[in-house]
Amino acid sequence: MIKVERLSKSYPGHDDRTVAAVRELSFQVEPGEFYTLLGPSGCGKTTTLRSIAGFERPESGEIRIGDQMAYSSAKNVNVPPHKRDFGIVFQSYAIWPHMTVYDNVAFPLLHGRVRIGKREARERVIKALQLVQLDGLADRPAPLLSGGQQQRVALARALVHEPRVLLLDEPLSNLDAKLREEMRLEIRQLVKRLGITALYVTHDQLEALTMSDRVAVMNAGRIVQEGTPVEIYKKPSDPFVARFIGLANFLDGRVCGTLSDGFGMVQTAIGILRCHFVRPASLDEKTIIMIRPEDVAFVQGSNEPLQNVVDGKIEVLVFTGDAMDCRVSVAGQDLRLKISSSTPLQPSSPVRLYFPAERCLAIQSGSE
Amino acid sequence: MVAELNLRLIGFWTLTLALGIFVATPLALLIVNSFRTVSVGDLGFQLTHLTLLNYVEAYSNPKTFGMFLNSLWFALGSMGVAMVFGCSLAFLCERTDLRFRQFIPALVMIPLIMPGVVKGIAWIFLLSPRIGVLNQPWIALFGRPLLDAQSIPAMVWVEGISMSPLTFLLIGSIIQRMDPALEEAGAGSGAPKWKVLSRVTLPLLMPALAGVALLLFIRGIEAFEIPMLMGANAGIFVFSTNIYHALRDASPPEYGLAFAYCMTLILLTVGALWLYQRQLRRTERYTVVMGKGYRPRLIHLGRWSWLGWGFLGFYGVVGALLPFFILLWASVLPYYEPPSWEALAKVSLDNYVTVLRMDDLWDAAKNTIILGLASSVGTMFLTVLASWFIFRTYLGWRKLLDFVLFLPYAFPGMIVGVAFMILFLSFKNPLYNTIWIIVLAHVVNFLPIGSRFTHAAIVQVHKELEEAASASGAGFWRTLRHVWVPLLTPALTNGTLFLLILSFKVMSVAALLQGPDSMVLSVYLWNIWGGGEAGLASALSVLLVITLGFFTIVSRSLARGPAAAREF
Repeated sequence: MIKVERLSKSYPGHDDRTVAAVRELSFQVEPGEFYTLLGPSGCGKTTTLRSIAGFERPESGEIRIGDQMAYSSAKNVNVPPHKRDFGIVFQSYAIWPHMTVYDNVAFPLLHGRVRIGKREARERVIKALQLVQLDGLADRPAPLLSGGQQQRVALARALVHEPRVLLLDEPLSNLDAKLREEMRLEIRQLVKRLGITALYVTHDQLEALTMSDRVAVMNAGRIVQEGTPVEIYKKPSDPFVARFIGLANFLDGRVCGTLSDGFGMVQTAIGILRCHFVRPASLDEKTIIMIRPEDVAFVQGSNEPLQNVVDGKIEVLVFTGDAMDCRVSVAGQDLRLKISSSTPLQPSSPVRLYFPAERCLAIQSGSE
Repeated sequence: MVAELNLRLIGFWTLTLALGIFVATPLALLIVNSFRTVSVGDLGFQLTHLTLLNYVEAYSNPKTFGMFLNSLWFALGSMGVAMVFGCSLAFLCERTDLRFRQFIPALVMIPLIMPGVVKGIAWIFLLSPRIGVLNQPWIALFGRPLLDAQSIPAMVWVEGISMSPLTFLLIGSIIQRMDPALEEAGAGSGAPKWKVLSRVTLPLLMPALAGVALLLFIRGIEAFEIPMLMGANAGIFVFSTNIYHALRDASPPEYGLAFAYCMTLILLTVGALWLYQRQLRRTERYTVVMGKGYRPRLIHLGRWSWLGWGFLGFYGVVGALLPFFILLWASVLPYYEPPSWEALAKVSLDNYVTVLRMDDLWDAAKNTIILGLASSVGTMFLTVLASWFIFRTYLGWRKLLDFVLFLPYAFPGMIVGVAFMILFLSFKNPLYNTIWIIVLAHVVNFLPIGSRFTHAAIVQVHKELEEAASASGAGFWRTLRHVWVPLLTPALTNGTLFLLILSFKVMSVAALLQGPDSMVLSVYLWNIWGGGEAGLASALSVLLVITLGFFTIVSRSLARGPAAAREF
């Protein structure tokens, strides 16, 4: 539905600040898919979205929306934004303060690509407002809305003309935490119910993981990894992704054992660990091992596993409500663990840890 | 603690009452005396000789109606010219991809260097019906002049250009503050460019633009220099020149009449100001959540950029180059004649020599310096104290002080001048006819501007900075010396320089209150011009412009603070 190919865009450094660039970026969003560009600020995700909308003019590459060639440097095509088929929700909502809720939502129908009569428009505006549960507020002037309501109006305005693509530019970042959680679910459900293709841009990993069908993690103008939320979280291909999404422990190591069915042995500072290899590696190669805090287990009593067991000492123990945040030192390395808050543990006490081999991911140290 | 609080309280009330009396008494005198039959020895608060005759006389005169219309046309017209220039320049600067547009703000400010009198003189040279440089080719081609300097359209043109820099600043900042996403949302809805412009951009900017227009209208209504120089000789009077005429030209002075005109002028400006404030509140209602602050999409001019350049060039020429060069030309000729090869033979620097040798010029220069320094430093001193009381104490009446500071904003400089004239004629004192009465009137006139600077400066110094000094054991004086003074110095320097230059340029108050020993340079220049010494006046104009240009550059390079000056 959206196809971006070898898209590049750079900014001249304006008053001493270097502005994000997009480098040879390619990806494709399938019809009906909820696709998220996730990355830190300045990684190029918003520039990509704005290029798709036509607010920025890329330097090279190709952008297709549906069967429309929206931009192509080779064919010298650059369709202006108002002739592209999409709806957009901005971070600032961009609700026009000089209009009522109704006027805001009716605008795409009365002044947009496909104009329809006032009476017909009325029906569709009411329907759109119902969709976002604002049907009682049609006549309210826009400045009198709360942040959450403005957000909903922005959604209704983006959807009222039934575009095939919905672009969302960090739409939740101006809301408070409680409302954000609510809207996460609501937007996802709405998009799924309408069967619309959605491109979502955010720096919030939780939003990306909970809302998307597929996530593309971006860094420095490139997509570092693309996959389902589960893949991205469980099998980060790269230390950047692992670090950006969730918490992770990293251990430097060297491959020292044979590899079979994706598993192998790695020599680390805390001993030899059996690990799962994301990509094949050869003997003696340097690698980094990633393990999530919640994946490390405490070994108690007799049924001790044979491999991947190390001894350590609890340094810090912090109660966080649903869990305990625990720092354990193992052979001079500081590891972060997340354990159930019901586990009886004392600070400064010795513990035995088990690293399940399938959760110890050997990620190539690669370029970071 | 108790003792300190009392000291604050005493300080606060001393300042508030002093300023209150200082501001309100003259204005009250003006109002009272507009209802009395008065003559020189009789001005004051006595409620004798009460009458409505002043108003009857003023408003039964059919000329008054004409003057009223003149004022209105003049104010509305110059507002229109300034809006056209200001909007176009701001648009070019903020929303197009014109090359080198980052230099537009500096270019736009250049005409500000020229005081009103100087501009008036220059444009009389340019638009004089017979010898005006701009009119001559027009006469040759069409048999009639382009524009007569002594007409309302010409006055409108000159005043409009004079107000363009201010308009540019105000509108530019309005455009900058608008969230570009509001326009993108329009394009994202599928609306073409012109629809976005007419349905989104313009309606959004409208309240703010209306506010700017009102502010310009107020300034047009109270303008003095241009109507005086260009209109008064031809019998075209507006409120301000009419008041001046009744007080300074008529003999004996027609106080009652002048006061009655003053009252109408006050009503007009207060009314417009009230509308302006209401408009401001309406504008604030349009404030929306701001996004990431993307730079808006710039309009690609392409083949049309020559039009942008042409417009900028035109503005530069009419705003600064043309007036300055015509003055330069006139200043090197014994008698003015339009530029020609024959005239080039008569060029000499005699006028400059003569001007610089005039004794009373140096008296006027001295007075100007006293006036500038005393009124700027005095204003800043008073307002910094007031700002401190307003923002750093929790005294219940601090709003009153703020009101007193703002009050003179509603009264044109001319009115403050008249009010001080009455004040100092009402009782025996040694100040009348000295420069100090002008200083006092300027201080009152400048209070609202000064407080813009000092309010911003004081607010910007976080309370914690002061508290951190106390917590470190520094007493009041040490805190003052090591925290307040260094932090406030830039803003105060800024404000002082701004007022210094302003007091140099504003002529209305000094013209009204001038005495033989209290002449300042702007009035002095005007008198030379009025005496028919066109060459000398031009030479003095050129010298003034160069001096002011120098000061402006110095103050701009020193200026590193809040842009409070922008609204004035």
